[in-house]
Amino acid sequence: MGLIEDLKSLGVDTDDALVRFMNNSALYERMLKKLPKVVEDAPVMPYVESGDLDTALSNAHTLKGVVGNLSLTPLYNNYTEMVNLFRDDKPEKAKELLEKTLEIQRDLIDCIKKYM
Amino acid sequence: MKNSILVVDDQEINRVLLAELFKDEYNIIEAENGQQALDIINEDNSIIAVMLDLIMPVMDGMGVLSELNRTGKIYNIPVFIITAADNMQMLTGAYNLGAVDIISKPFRMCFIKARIGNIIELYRHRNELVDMVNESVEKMSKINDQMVETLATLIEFRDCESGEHVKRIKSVTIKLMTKVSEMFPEYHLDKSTIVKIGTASILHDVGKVAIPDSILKKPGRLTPEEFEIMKIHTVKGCDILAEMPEDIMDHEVYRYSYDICRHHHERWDGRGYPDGLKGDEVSIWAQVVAVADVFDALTSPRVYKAAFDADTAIQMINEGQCGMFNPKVLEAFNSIVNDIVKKRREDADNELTT
Repeated sequence: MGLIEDLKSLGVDTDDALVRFMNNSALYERMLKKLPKVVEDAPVMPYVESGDLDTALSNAHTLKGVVGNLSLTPLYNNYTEMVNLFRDDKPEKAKELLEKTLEIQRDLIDCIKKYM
Repeated sequence: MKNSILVVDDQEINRVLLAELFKDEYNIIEAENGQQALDIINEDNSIIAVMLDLIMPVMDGMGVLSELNRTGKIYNIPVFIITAADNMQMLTGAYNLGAVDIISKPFRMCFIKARIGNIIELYRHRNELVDMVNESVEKMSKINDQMVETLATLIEFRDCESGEHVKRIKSVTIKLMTKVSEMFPEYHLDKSTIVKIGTASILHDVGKVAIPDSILKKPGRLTPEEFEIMKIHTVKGCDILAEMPEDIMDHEVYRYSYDICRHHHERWDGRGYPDGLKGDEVSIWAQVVAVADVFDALTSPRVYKAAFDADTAIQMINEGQCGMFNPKVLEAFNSIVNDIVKKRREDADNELTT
């Protein structure tokens, strides 16, 4: 099993990703390995907790774009919904969703880190 | 040189994906924020398209669009918004600022390549057409200038001149106007205005076509009655210009020609003709052509006189023997006349050796 197969078993739409990466699996893996740093640089939870909802929204938006392009489907769906909740001024609901999302994100990041 | 696409996104993953898509056909340049993007666009002429994220640090995509809009660069370089945003207000704002297309993340590679490729091709065709039109306009303008010059030369032939007179007047007018603009900025003369005035100057004597041969070619001094008839060439020149088809020359050149025709025999003290205007009631271009015309007339042989040497002509002009001129124009004239005389000698020498 390799990284791509492992991610597939975690619900990542790797077939869609490979179409996006023009079947260049090496490039896809290289970009996946950049994800932990992106996630680290754009945290959402600390800003939700401190009440800086603009930064929380901005970082959630950044992650939505990146995980979408990597076809990390479960994360993409959650961040898309989270951005809408922040925009609709529902930070409590956004926080609930974020807690669930961070669990999924942790599993994916752990999986990627095994291959770094 | 290979054309370049500028990819602007704060996330490397997004930039790499787009770079991968276009790297075989284009040189890819990457920027992490809007300010970097603007710096690159301002320095690099090879950029033919920009892919722009909206939400970025330092300067966001809307800031880049506003600046490209302000400088007019948005009309030559297509900008594609690449965004995960679905905020309608923001996307509408991006369109209003000149974005050509909005492409949502996550990308669909086959669509994105076709959409961006098609628009780049359209812009390339459009820019080629703009170049062709500009080339044609320049060519037409040159042909018009040549027609006007030919017309002026025909009139000079009737006056027993070779046509060199009008060319010299044009050359001296441009040199003298340039000097006046440098020494006296209050006249607000820019380079393109001076070139137009130079072209306009060649028609200054077009009204001589209405003067009878018996007066125009008289090998002696004109009687007061004959001089009165000679004076009407200024007004007749304007009548001829008024009958010319509208599009035969640039609108501004026409306006300068008309004014120069009428007023190139006015004098600073109001003792010229046809209107007896005084001082700066006469436009600066008519004043300059007046000095250029008198200097050329004095230093050229005519049916009624031999040519004066340059030093004598300069002295006569400065002493007011040919009427009073604007002291500022005279100051500019005196500072360049030696160069004019030198150039004229060189041209005469070249003509003798060819």
